[in-house]
Amino acid sequence: MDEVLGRYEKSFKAGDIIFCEYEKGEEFYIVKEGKVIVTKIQDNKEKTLDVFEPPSIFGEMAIIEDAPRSATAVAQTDVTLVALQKHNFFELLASNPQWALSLIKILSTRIFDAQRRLRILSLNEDEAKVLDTVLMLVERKGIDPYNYNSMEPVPLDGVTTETIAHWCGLQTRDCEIHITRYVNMGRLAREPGKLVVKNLNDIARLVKNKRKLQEQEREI
Amino acid sequence: MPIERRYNQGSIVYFDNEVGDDIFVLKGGRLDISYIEPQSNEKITRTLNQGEFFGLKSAIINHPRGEVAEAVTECLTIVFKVSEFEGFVAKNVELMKRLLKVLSNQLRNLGIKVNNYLGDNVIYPPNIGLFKIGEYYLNNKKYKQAIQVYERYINAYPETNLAKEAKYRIEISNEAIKTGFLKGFKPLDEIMKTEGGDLDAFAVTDIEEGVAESHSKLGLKEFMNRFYKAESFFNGGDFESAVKEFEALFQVDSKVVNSDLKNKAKFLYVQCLFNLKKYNECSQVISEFIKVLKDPTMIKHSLFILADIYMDLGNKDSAKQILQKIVVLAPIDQLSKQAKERLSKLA
Repeated sequence: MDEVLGRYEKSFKAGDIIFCEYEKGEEFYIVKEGKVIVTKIQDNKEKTLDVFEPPSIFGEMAIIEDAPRSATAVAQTDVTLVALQKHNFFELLASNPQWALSLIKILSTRIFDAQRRLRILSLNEDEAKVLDTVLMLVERKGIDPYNYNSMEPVPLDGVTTETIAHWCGLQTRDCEIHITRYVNMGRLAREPGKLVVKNLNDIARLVKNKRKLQEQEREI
Repeated sequence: MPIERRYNQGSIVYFDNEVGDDIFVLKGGRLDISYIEPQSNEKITRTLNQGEFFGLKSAIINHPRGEVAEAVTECLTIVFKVSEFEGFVAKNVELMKRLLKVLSNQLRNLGIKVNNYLGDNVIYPPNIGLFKIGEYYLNNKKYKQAIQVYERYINAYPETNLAKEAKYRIEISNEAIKTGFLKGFKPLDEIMKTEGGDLDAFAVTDIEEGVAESHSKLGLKEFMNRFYKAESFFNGGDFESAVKEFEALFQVDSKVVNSDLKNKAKFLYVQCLFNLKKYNECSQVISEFIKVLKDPTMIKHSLFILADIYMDLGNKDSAKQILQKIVVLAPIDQLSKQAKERLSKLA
């Protein structure tokens, strides 16, 4: 297998564009060496959607759907990729059913993530968006915020104001105002390299009420 | 081994938020999937087709269900455990393809919705979109990337006016890499203003004179990309955005596009208008549409929509007339039979 794939290797220097949003997709890739970041330019900012390392597969969406690229892939380091043509895609999956399954799983996860994000974005108030994003990050740790029978604080490693602002579509500055307020109230705490949810039940209750209120308003 | 499981009328196969590792295929009966759309807080219900999978995404990644599955009539399902399903898919490439396509498309539609919220809901024609990425890198002094994007632009759209601009931008970027100084260039918005019209108009006329007469490949590309966008809006149930895209699409002088595709676009457009309950507009479009249509199946489908409009407006007699028309239209097929059945129900 590796010998066959070797013929299709392509190298990119750090900073090279591998494919560009809006382009027609003719190939998909397996990362052999190095790191690839997938970005999208929104509001004049380049936002990272994903990072791929060996042995990830990427660029498959445009191939599966026969549609234009929906994001831009850039080599973050020097990379070696195995570039495969459209028509090889399904052949390859047939001989590697494990890949197909992991792709199904990746897509399923991304779909649930996007749905969750939509639930956050559909909230009216910025404050509610920020708090619901915190809940979402807690859920990602496998904790259900609405059934948390403990007073134990929940640390969110690597989470900054920027992470939260990105998820709920707010300006970092606006997001910061709300987080600072909750830190001052003692409901959140900032520790080096992490954000700590001091009282998860409190925050879960607040979000639940805000959502309920918004639903009632809609019905009136 | 996957097993068969029967559900009584009215029973719930699974609830929202429930955790389960069963993956189902509908074998018989009517089964509805419903969920609350966060944007409007409305309940959205979809009736499954026979042979369709459900409960797959949640089971396969061990995530709580995101919807309710209800047996509206007595239903027969085939139930796979995750490991059984994995073995099954591994042997069935066609199924793999279908599932990946469905999932990928769902994800893309969700992406469009998310972007709508994030304020980045400007959808550019692909040529302008690609050029704009180059502009982003250029404005942010990432010259190397800018050059690569403009090169790609020139490769993909060599016949456009913007290709010249792309060439110029590559030159000044190369200089800037050496000297650190970027020469002036005309911003994209200004180019478009002087060329006349807004973004969309520009996209259509973004072809060198002379080539425009015979129409370049761009005509087809442009049409296809817009069509694709409109179709994703349609599939995602965002009929308003779909209507906008389709209307822009029909503005494109698309001589190179084959009529089947144009008709498909028109038919989707008609369905959007119907879903939006824009009945006047919809019936007008249908009556003009069927004049030029040659495919009897599509004529019949369009007439069905017309009949539905009359029914919704409480005009039973006109609905009957339309259904009668479908019955007598050659060839006699499944649709003629359906029209007959609906007529007898109306009588």
